[in-house]
Amino acid sequence: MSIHSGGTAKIASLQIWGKGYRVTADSEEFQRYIPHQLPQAPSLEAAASGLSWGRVLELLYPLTERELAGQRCLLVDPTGLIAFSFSHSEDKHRRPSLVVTAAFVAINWEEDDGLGDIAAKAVALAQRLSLAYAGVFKGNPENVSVQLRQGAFLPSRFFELMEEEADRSVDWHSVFSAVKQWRGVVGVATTKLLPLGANIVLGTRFEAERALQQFAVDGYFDVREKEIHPLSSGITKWKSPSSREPVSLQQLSPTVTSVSDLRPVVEALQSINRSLDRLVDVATQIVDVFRDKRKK
Amino acid sequence: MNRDPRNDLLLELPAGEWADVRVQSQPTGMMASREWAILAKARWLRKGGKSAFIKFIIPAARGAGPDTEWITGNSRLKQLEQRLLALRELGERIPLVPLLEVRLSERGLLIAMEEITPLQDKIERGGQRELSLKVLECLDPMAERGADWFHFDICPNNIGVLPSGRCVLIDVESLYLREDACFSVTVPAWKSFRAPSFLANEVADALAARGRPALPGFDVALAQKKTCYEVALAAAECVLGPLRLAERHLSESGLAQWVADSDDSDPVVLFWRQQLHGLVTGAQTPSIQALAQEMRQVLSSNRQVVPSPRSRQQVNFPNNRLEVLPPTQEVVSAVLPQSQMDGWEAEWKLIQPRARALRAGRLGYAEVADYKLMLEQLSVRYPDRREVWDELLLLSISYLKDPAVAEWFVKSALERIPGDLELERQKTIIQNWAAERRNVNT
Repeated sequence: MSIHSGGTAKIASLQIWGKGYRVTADSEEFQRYIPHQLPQAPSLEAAASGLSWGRVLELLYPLTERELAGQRCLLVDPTGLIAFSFSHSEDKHRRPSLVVTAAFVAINWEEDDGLGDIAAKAVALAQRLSLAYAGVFKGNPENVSVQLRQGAFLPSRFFELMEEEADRSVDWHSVFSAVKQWRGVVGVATTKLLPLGANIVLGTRFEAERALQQFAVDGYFDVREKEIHPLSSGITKWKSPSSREPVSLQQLSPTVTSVSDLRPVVEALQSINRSLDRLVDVATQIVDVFRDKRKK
Repeated sequence: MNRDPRNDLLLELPAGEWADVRVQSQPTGMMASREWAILAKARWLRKGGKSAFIKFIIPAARGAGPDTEWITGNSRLKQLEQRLLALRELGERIPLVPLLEVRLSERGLLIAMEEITPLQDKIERGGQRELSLKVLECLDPMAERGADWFHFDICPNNIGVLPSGRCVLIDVESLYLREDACFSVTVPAWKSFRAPSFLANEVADALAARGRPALPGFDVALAQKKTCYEVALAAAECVLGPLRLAERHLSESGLAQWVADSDDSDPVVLFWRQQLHGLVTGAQTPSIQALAQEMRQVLSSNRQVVPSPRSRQQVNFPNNRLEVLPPTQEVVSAVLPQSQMDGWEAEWKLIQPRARALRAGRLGYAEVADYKLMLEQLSVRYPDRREVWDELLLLSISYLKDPAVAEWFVKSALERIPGDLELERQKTIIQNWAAERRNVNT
């Protein structure tokens, strides 16, 4: 089935993963319930199939429901975006399990207006459904098992985004404005969901640098400045439209120096900025330590 | 072993689209009373997630009785499914609750609709003036939506208010679309419980003419007339409070009892009281569009369509009641010019402008007093004419709101027309009303 796109009538295609039902033969203990088969061609939708789920899930089990609901992950490629969401559930022996939903939306990076809105709605859909399915799968009821096996659980895995309430916990408009400026961005995520493959941390520089020790992090999205700051050469800024036309700069004034001449200055400023950020983080930690001691 | 239909419902609902399914323990309505259907609430996971109401009709088993076969037999369920699918396609062109899913399988017919707040609940809470207008705007059967529809049973329990504020009809099986010059129905149940007596009789006559069992094609004009009455009545209840019928159908005396305790200083209340008199007596067929237009004006500009509180104060109407005078020949000669006393029809015709002006709320205190004297004169001259007594009762009950006056007139009427069952019934109601009023006063 084709994925629809265009205007505000975006449609998300859904994947559901969980534990406790044997549905798809090609998966291990943590299984993809919906769809039974993914498109053969390599795509962003297939990203979840190649994941090492054990590594992903071990970070999430200890989280409280509230902490888990606060995690965000959005992967992107030239064809679209995919949002992941996780919720706690229980198997039939009342052991904790996790339910994962992933909502893929085809997008056109050049022509689609309001990518941030599309992302916010895809995130909200994934989250709403993961919470709902956590309830549906709890205790592994038999009627759900029958429906999953017969393919009657979800007659269509395509969901309209039109009436979806947008996710407001992250400023997705700013995130997408920033993402569009950088080449090499694979996805943005909070630290606990970095194992899904995102290379930009939604968090502070401190969190990003700590995550760098475990995951392939190339930068972080600074919520305050609404910008992506690189931490490696894995991401590079796309040339701005003005730098693609150096002639016009020269024409403006003969005394204007070339853009490349300013790079050392920009780098020095960025370095100062990073140092300041580190100082702020250290100061924050010191304050936290004092506060903790006072509480004790 | 018998299958549990609740399990059938769970199997029928795709769990990936429906969450939090709660079967209602004590469903209401015709189908529930015969265990023809299961009702449930659930959350639909599509379109942002919506609260939903589900009706799951269980097909008639082999060997079922004739009623069950008629209502839930396979052929009717198939027809019903097709009709509901066609209605769903029309979207907001008809005032039907949004249907989220309609599906027929061997287990039963699944009808899932958006959850609403029943209008009845809102009416019970009181003070629904804006909603009164909304009912008129949303449920006008003559509105140019491009689809003629008919609903068997329009009442506040079958009208719902969506979260958006739009009023829609529930009891979806009762809604039909026009086919050529009639409504082809699968169950001919007119349900005229709330219609005024004259209209209920009209409907009964129409049904009788079709034979038994009634033929499936129903006349469009009569259907629309009934719909207009029922919509107007529901809109009035939003302002006047719930209508609790003591009689089989709504009559003038029933109406008088209903509106007796309403606040007549409120222009919206007065608007509906005035309109209802015309509707119940059949003096006017309601145009929902016109009612909505007037209602809009009353609400927006607080314009007084009936005598304003100020003008009422000046003329002491209707709080200061008229003195009751028994009909006398002296009074007659004082009011009606002799030249016009040339027969019942002419004299009755003579007072019709006053009758219309009374219903339109255009009569001041002095004019109402004059009109009452005219009627009293006619009652002396033509003591066996029910029309005169009816008009006097209307005047005393709904405009003067005086049970003592009404009691006097109904007793006088029965002296002249003994054994009249309708008058006897009215007398009982009026006496109860008078007793209640006396209790309140003491």
